[in-house]
Amino acid sequence: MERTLRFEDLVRKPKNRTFANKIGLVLILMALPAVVYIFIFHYMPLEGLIIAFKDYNSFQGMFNSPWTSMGGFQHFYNFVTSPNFWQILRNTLVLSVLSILFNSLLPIIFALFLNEIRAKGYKKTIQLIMYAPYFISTVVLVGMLFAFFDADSGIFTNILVSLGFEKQNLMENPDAFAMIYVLSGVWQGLGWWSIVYMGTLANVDPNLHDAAIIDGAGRFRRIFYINLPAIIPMAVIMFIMSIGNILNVGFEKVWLMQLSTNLSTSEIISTYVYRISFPSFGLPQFSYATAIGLFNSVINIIILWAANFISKKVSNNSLW
Amino acid sequence: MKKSCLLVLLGVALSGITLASCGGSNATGYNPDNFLPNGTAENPYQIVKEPVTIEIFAPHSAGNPEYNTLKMFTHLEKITNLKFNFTTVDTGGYANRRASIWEDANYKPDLFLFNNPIAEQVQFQEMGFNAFVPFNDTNYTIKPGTTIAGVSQEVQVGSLIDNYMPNYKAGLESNWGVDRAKEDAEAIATLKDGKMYCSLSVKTVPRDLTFKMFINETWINNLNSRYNLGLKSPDEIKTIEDYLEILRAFKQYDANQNGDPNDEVPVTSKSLEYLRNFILASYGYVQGGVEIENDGSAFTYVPYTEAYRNYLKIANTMWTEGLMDASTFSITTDAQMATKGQQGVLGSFSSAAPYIAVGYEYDDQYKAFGPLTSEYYTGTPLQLGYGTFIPDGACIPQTSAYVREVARLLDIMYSDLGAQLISYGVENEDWTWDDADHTSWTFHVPDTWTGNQEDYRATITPNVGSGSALFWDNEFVGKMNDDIIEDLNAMSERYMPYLKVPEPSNYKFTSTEYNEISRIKAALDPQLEYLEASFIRGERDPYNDADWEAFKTALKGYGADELLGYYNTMLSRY
Amino acid sequence: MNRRATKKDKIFNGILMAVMGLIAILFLIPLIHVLACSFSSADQVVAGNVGLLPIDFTIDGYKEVFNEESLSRGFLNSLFYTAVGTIIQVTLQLLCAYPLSRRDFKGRKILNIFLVLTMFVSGGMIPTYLLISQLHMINTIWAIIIPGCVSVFNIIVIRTYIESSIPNEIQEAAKIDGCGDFAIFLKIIIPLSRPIIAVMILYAVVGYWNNYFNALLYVQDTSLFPLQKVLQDLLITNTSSVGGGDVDINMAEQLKYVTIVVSSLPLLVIYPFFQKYFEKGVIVGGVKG
Repeated sequence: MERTLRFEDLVRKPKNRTFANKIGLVLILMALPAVVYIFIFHYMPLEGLIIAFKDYNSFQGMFNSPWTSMGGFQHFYNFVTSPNFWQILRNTLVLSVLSILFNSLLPIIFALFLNEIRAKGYKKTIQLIMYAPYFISTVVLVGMLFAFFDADSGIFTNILVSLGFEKQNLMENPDAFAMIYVLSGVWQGLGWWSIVYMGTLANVDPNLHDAAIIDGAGRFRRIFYINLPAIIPMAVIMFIMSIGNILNVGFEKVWLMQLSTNLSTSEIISTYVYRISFPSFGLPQFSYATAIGLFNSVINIIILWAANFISKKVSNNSLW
Repeated sequence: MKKSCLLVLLGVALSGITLASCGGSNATGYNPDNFLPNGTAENPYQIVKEPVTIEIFAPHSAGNPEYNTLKMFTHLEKITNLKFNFTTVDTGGYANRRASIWEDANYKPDLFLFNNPIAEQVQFQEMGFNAFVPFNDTNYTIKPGTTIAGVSQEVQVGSLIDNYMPNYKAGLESNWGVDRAKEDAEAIATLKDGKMYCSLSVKTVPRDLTFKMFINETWINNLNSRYNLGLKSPDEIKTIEDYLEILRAFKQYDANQNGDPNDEVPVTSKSLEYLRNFILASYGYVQGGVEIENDGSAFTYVPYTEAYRNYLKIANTMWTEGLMDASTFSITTDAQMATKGQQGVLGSFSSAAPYIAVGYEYDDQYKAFGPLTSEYYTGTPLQLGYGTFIPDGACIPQTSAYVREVARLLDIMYSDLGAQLISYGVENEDWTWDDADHTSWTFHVPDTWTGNQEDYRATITPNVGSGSALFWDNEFVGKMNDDIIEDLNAMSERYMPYLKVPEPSNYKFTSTEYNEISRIKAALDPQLEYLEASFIRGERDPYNDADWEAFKTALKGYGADELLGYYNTMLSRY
Repeated sequence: MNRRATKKDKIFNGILMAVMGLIAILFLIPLIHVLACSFSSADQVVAGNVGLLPIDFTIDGYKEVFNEESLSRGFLNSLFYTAVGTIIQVTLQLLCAYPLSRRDFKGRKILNIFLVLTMFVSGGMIPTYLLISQLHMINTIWAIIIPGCVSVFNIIVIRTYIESSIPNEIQEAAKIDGCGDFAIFLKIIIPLSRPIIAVMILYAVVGYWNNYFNALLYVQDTSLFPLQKVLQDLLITNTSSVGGGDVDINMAEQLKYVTIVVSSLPLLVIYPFFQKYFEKGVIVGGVKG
């Protein structure tokens, strides 16, 4: 495209400085569909939060349903004082904290070592393989777990029995739930979550390594003193984000893994919300469920804020 | 300017929403003269002169054919001149969809068929929502212009039962031949304001009134003849101790005589539930939740009782001795049971019929047995009864204009014809009487059909898989000419004198109570199930008093006392 | 000294490669086992004899699985949802990300706050459910496609990519040439954003293909079920009719493995082609997320 820039082009005012152009109408129109979408599906549900303070029923609607007692906080009070409150909270925290630990630390370690492999093709192949589980759907993953732990024909059961364990379906065992949940999560996410760190490591200045080699630093020293510090800011950001979601343990996987026999460790806030919303006995408890969900979000925001605050003070890394 | 941007955005967003909520269809005009209260001379079943469409909301078992293709409904369409438009919901998602129905201002069904939750009826009645048409309200009118668009005049409907439902009325009056002292249809159908918002599901076929427990008679005979063990035959098994002895023999010897003494699974169950109910009954309670005492004086929370502890003890014994299938806690479907059953390794199990669990090859080896008693409980044997009358059959929403038409349709379903259609289809097409006296009839599956009989029946009626029926009549169903079914019917009869419904459906909670109970159960039931499993698997010891007391304390902590309280408060109102 | 270090290095490299290779194989084993089971005879699968190689090799399971109506319907439904959903999702996100990347866009700040706020507040399961009900979307294909369609996080990732990889000068030059905003978007931004668009397409495809939540919550009509919901009935709750009827019971068990293979294969086949893109995309997302 050959085009000489003439003086007139530069001094001439843009041709059509219309109102539309001034406010960037085209840009607004482009953003509009997503904005409308987000308004409807992210902001409009917020008005539904009002039913957390009411005894909602469909006939009277969100605004005319009666307020609950205790100044509208009856449902919150009921949840916090309900006998399984601590159990559910504990289960949620256990799954969440273990997942955060495993899914934050292991990918870092994995990336640090993978980064040391010099054979490029080999490295790429390993990465390719490690990504595969990430593309398996949650339903299939849990389906595989059920098949592998089947008491009669499951491959994991067979392996465990040959190692001298009692023959049982581990999926039913409440004590094994967190372990299975976390380890299967690692299987799915290890390769994927290491991508971020691999990217950061690729940007580490090679001169730093050269200088360190001249100083006689070995491989482990270089990993520890050059590569690790390089990815720490990223790791902290990832960590804060996951902390901020500490009570948002994925609903799907837990829901699918639940059996009536493992509920004592597998019932978490989000599955409880679903169960109470559409109970097999009695009426849908929409208000109560909404109150629990709101409680959950508020705690999350507080934790996120706190984590960010601490991180800012301690390491100067923060989300905002 | 920013403000104007926002305003534009808001405006667009809001208009989108308004558009979406106005997109529904308007009800077409209702013509009261189109209705034929008494049919026509040549066709007593005809309901309308010109066809009108009835919107039906109903549960649907996964894998069954679409309802609009079912013989039952196409036949009803033909004889009534109504057209049906179904919204069917997978049974797994029924509670979910049912809840959303009331949110959706556009979807106005004319009929809720099957599975109408009683808690919903009670709540709507208490709060005065006028959701459902009372079947026995003598003053009911379809009001013009209020809820139904296009209705030109007020239509006096009156009592649906008196005016349009002679079959249902006769059934209510005769209590469908059931002893009123045991189960009173009218009391079960009526809410505390004296109105009936839902018609009953009536089931009088013995095999569908309880679960059945089967044991392998061939194995017992094998062991007796080979080892001279003197095991009791299925009919002679009277106590849980007798039963345990047989299970132990199944385990110890090569009961199926295939040369492998270890492949026998003495007892399995489709989820622990059935086995629990069977064992508990031998200790004096028929299930593991809240249950009314045999004299009807009060409700008891069964897990508190010594009977429940005895159940835990014996189940623990079964588990630790390897008598209970290791998969008991994970098997949830008949098909899963069948993976073992078809290998001929099952000693005893609960199922609707033996062939479902073991296939036709082994079907005749199994005989029903029980109910049992025990050294602990020596009274009349008990068996869990599902109840003949359940107030969940059909509801007509007040938003429907076709109240009378639907009532007529429902009445057909409560007639002999309805009982035939819901069970085995159309006379002379799907089945024929064997003789002039109508003592038995034969079901005809076309030779071209490749699946099994139940698969074929699923093309006729929604009953397959879900058990849904408004009128499931033993007078007809019980006369089927089929070896396996006749066997099954005969075997089911043994339980009939002992049935006990643990929560009689004539007692109803208030809607507050339903809410509280459903909250308590959401916490309590999983905890109970977990503790129960840990006792059975030996992680806790049912023989140990400390463990047992800790168990009861734990249940108290999860609201068992409150739960029981709600039941007894309710009982005291009656 | 230098030589010794190299030797030590070589040993280290050798061990490292071996260990990492071993981990990779370990991660692959479950998939290999599933594959082996899917090609083994049903009886061997139920007996638990199959390890990493098929026993009594057969493709009966694959023949059978394509006869299963609910599965093939779920498969087709999911194809449809994925195709339509991906188009909507990627288009909306791109359209929204571009204005956000323009420093001269007046509403940029407000838009940014409007978007970012959603990452911190949400109505939760039931208010969203009630909204979807009130919009009459329950039990329609839209209930599967629309909720969760636009991801604010993705919009920000695309914005970051445009900001950091497309020099502002190109846009300025185009503007001087008289190109309108939309023309710039079409002729410059889209072609230059190919890598991030590829990533977004992959995300969308994976998201829709593997989506289960929307179907669980909003759709109860079996004819609308996406593949994942059908799979749930088959693999987890065992309430599926697949393998019912006259199919051998053991076959029904083996069909589980076959369906796992068949349902996961599409994604497992396409992701390697996107590898270099999504590695980049995740990094952009990580940096500016």
